[in-house]
Amino acid sequence: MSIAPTRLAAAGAEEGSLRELRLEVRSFLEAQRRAGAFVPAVDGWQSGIDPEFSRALGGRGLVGMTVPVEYGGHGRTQAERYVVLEELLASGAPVAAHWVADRQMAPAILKHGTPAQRERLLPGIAAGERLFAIGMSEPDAGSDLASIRTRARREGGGWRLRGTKVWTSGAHRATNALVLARTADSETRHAGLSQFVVDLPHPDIHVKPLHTIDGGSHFNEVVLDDAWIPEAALLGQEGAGWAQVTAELAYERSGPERLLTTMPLLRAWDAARRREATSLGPRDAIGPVVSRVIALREMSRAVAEVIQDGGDPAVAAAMVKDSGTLFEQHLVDEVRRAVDAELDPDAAGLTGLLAQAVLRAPAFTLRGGANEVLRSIIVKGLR
Amino acid sequence: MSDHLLEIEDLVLDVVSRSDSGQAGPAQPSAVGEHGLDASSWKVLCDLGLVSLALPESLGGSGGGLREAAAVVRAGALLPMPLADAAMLAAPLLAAGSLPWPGGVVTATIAGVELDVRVEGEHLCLSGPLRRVPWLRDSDHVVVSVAGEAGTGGLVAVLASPASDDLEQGRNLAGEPRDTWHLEAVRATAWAPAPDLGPDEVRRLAGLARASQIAGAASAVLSRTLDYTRERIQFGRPLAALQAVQQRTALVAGEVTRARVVTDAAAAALDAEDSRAALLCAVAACEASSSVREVAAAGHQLHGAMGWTTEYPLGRATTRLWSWRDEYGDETAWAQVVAETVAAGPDVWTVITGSDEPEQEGRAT
Ligand SMILES: Cc1cc2nc3c(=O)[nH]c(=O)nc-3n(C[C@H](O)[C@H](O)[C@H](O)COP(=O)(O)OP(=O)(O)OC[C@H]3O[C@@H](n4cnc5c(N)ncnc54)[C@H](O)[C@@H]3O)c2cc1C
Repeated sequence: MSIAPTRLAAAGAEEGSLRELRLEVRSFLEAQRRAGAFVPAVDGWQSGIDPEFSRALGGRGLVGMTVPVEYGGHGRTQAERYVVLEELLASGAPVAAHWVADRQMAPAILKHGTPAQRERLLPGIAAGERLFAIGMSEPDAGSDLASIRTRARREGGGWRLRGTKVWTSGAHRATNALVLARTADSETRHAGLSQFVVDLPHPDIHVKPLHTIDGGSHFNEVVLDDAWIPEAALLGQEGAGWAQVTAELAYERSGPERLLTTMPLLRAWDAARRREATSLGPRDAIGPVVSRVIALREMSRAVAEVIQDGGDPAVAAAMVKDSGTLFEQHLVDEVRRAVDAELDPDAAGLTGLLAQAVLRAPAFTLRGGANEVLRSIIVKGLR
Repeated sequence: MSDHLLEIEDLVLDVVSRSDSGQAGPAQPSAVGEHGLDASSWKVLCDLGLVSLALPESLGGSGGGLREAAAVVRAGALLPMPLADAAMLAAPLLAAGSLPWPGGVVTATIAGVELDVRVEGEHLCLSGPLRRVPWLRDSDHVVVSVAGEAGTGGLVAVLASPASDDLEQGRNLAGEPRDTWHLEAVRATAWAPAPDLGPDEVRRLAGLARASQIAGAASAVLSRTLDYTRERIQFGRPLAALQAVQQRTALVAGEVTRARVVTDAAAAALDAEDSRAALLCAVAACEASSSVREVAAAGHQLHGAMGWTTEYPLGRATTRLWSWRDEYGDETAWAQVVAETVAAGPDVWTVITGSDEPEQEGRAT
């Protein structure tokens, strides 16, 4: 049946043990916030780099949760990890330092890494100490990722990397980068690509921060100037980079961060409405927004279950990301319309968060693949 | 868990594909009666035990849950019959009153305040209007939910349907019968108190029934749109090869999936007596109703003029979607229930995650 990927089943109620974990993490985060460890922000999972905070989470066993114990992880379930991710996102905590490593590098290294790579990289990831940057996009290769030009040539028992990456999030603070490069010319564009784990900083890798309209500098231009890396940097099979990247993107797209990026704003609005009813919009304005996020959350939980059961989540994940990121933007607009205030990025509290959200919102539907491209994936999957 | 739902859906879809009413054939909102109840499909579904799933076997049902019933309703959404009213409203109402399945074609309704209800000895006697009852003219029995006095539970009554002369015929946008019956001292053929069913609970069931129908009909619009845009050639290629068409179709798929998952989640929560059930039902009704605008609009847009004709069956789905989204509460009404739930909870995130469990009650007993 052609609409098979739409026929998802709901995940059902959260078990008691998950609820306990949820409340435990929630109160830990609340205590951290009160102690001044962080100020809640919108988009903390990409904009909030705080290595110390990530290390503290690692110390509590909240990073690398599903990584096996022998590699320094905690052997917990995907369902437990999902609950923790949701609480981290909703709290607005600065979790960007470990987010990418935890989300896609740990599973990729477990799946494709050599025993030596696992031993070298996984313990640091689980401790919240490794910050991974992802070097896929290039100046001339965005949505059309297979057209990348960065090359890796074999040399001196290792590889030499040459090319330029852009929009590389966190590269200016990263301990490692995962670089996608062409290792062979081939008839088909998707063949001949390989992935490399590169240690940073590196004398021949030049990282130049790019400044964004929200006043930050989240991503970078990364010039690989004939940078030599050892043979052991190759991740997985030479030439199998495209398949590896595609599998990673499914992880990258299906998580709760694709609908909860602006949750701290909704919470701040809700809290403000409880304190003072005036100038914060009609009494019932919160209803449609909450309804939508509950429904999207059920969609995201259903996809998490598909992944858990070993199913193919690619199409459903693209659907969650398209709907979820559109909602993240929609939420900002709903709160803006309800709140009677001029936005000042330096303001504290609700209006400050709102200003931050307005300035960051354009990125939500671009990163991880532009939504229009996701929709092509969806329609092809419905064939 | 999901596999058995898919099996139920496929079983029903098979019945739909073999009937000439649910799938193909013209939608004729202007010719109600000519295109009446599909009695043979009704019988097939009853014989398979799929209509009375949400009623225990001891009462003549098939002892499943609302989750299975909702799967039946989604898959059979376009069959011309009161399937949702029977499977997701009549069955749980009867179960609440421990009343047996009355047999024949069964519909259900919620009585308004104008209905006067008296207990006379063993009998229950009803007078006043039952308004816009689905498929009443084609039914053998109607199961009526009557709200109790403030604070008390209601009751459930089973009535034998009246002669069609006693009905004021009405219809919805799809031409589905919505008949009004003015009762004059009519005796229920069976009745029982239903202490656990307050008016909110009943309305929730009805809202979820319509939401499940919407999820099913929306899915049919998506299926049809995918088929049509792959077959129709313009500019020398199928419409489905055009980017603009793909973009809009993918958005429809997102709406369809959301409506499906959230109605399933709500039905599962009711079965499990989960503390989030009430909220999830309101969300399901709100999301299903609000999905209708884009699903129906995109379906029509991508079908071109053909979709607007009764020659082509798209209208059979879209006219139903436009009716069902308003029945038993539109998205605004249900969003208000969600807003009230948020206001009554400690904070919005606790409400969203349903993590505000009351203390375990074990100790008191
Ligand atoms: C905040 C942020 C962080 C990022 N972090 C990283 C990172 O860490 N590592 C990394 O490698 N990349 C990163 N990216 C890059 C991201 O993956 C790309 O922005 C994205 O894939 C789109 O590529 P592009 O920006 O070159 O847009 P283009 O490919 O030039 O496309 C521009 C627009 O054209 C439209 N479009 C393009 N192709 C199609 C199509 N086939 N069909 C329909 N419409 C189309 C879309 O609307 C698209 O948004 C990040 C981006 C952002 C915004």
